[in-house]
Amino acid sequence: MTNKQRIVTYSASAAVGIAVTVAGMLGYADGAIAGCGGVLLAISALKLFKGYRYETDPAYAKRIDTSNADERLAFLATKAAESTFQLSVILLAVLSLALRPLGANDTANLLGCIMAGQVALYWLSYLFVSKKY
Amino acid sequence: MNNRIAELRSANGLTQQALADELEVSRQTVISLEKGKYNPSIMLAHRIAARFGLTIEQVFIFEEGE
Repeated sequence: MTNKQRIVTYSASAAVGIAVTVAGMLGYADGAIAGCGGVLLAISALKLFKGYRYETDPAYAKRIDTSNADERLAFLATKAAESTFQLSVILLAVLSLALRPLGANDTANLLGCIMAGQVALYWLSYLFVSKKY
Repeated sequence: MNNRIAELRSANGLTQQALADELEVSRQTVISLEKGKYNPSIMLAHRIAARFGLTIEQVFIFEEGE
């Protein structure tokens, strides 16, 4: 996606955010939905500011381009995702086992199923990636 | 894997930022490379070696067991 396409996309999401927020203020939407609209508007405004700065500030644009192309940053992101996955599976397994003696069997079962789902997704991803590379 | 990036950069009168700009990576990446904390891909290793007019083997020191 080019920066101009990003600006168009985030302008549209900002417009949706404004519409939802105004609808909430006028009583046409639930407070929680209006809150989501506010969050959407805030994120879109931040992204639009970044997009505008990318267009008008060449030094900033170069810094963004460099960080997007920097292979070490991609490596770091992959390592962080790998650690997050391992930790989440271990945490879910521990919680699933720890909650059972406390009588929270439903929650323990749910956490166990989520853990099993994550592991199954990992194997599916592995199969897909091994065919691709 | 050890390398001669810091030595070659100094010999060529380049700052870490200048080398980073030429290689189109961040200065932090140059620092990590120089410290040997990050091993580059074959493409980046090639760009680094080419920048100094050397081969990959002349810049990066491979050791047994790595």
